[in-house]
Amino acid sequence: MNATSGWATVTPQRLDANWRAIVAELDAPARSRIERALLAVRMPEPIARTLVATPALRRAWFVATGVALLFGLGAADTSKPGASLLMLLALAPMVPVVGVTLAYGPGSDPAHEVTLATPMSGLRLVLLRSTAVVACSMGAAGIATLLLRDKTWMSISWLVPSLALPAVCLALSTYVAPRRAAVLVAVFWLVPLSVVNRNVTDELVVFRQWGQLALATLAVGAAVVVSVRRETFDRLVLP
Amino acid sequence: MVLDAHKKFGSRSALAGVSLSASRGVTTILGPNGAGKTSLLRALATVQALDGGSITVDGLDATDRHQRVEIRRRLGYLPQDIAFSPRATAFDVVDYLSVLKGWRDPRARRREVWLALDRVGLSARAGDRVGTLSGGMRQRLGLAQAIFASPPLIVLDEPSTGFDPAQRLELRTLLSELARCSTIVVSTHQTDDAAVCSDVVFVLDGGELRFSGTPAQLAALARGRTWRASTTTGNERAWWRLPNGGYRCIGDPPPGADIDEPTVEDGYLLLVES
Repeated sequence: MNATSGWATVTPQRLDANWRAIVAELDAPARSRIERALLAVRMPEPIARTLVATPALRRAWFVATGVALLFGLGAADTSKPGASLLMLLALAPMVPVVGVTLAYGPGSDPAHEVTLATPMSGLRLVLLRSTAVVACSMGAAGIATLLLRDKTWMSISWLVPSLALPAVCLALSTYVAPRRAAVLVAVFWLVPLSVVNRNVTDELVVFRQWGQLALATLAVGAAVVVSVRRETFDRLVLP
Repeated sequence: MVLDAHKKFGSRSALAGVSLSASRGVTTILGPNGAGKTSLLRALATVQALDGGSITVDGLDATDRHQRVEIRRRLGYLPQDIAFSPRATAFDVVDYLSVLKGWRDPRARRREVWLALDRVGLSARAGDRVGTLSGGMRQRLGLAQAIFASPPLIVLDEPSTGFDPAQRLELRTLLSELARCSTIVVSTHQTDDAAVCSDVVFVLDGGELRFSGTPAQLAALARGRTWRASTTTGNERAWWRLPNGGYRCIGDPPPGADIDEPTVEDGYLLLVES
């Protein structure tokens, strides 16, 4: 430190750097309401920025909210309470699948290739976005559940499928394009459900104890596949 | 350092045993469409795996997951087809990508974002949505995120696409500034860009390396093989009409031809047209 005078230590470079810092703070575009809300609940700033600045996520959230509204309307239909429960249980797990599919990949994120060239792990980014979408869609499904006329424990049996199906979708997307993976999951979920619905007396059998156990096992298996094949989230996959 | 790089798409070979090295300064990759430039730059930027061969940056191996992350910490990358959400602002685009680059301190990050936008002449449009920017401005935005915080390795795939002559000149100046402390690898169709600011030029054609050397050495390939003539004979490799009504020709000159001084473009055309 220069002992002669405080002024002597202020170089033009330092002044310039300080001025730039001030300008950067003053001129930075204001944060969005969503970002401010996330920061208010103590979410780390870089994560909040990552979530909010991902345009694909906004679309995924929008879809989740839209479907939640549909569920709400369906669940409020008191003339067919049984049918609305089955619809909720069958379709609620598909919301995060759609959301996860919209949240990443070359088809959804225009800056996907640039993103891959950053040190942020592809898997971490995918999981971060997927968690945001799954949490949002599960919240929406939760609201829809509250609108059901007859609430029982069965009303929340969509929880495990809502974790299992996106996990399977992520695992499949290490082999095929994310959108194709979502279609495959939809087919292998909804077709067997409709078959069971027609041929078995208990239409909710898939959502009872053994069904839940099978789906939980499937989720764990999918998580293992995602972990083993994590490299595929780090590289560009051309069609 | 790229060593014996191989990449295939189906039966088509995009890279067939390409080896090259780049050091501080500007290294330019020239080549016609489909030459393998983008495949090479994607591999160099670690976003696409090679089928064979290796890529090392500062001794770090791109095939190793952990070392690849270290390479990416040193990297700025502008892909050929870059796009951003039209609803995001220019500031948000660079800020978001800088978060992914590991810049967690918001104040330091914002300062660098402004600096990057300023260097590409976009600071006045920082708050504007991408959808309102012109094609050239979007390209400059892509450039801003690539040069963010002046990384040691900058890979730019056709950075001057959509630029007018004045912007191309500004790009040359920017690259020249960055080249003082960064290794810059650029692919381009513009031979005149390569001629004025490259230290080393590589010519790729059909996935194979056809030339490596300085721009002067590339131009020298055409020494004695460019000439001016009042008419064409049909034996030229390439020719074009000059404003004075004469022709400039490349190839094997006829006896007594008016031999002209060769350019980088002449050398390049002789290589890729052969």
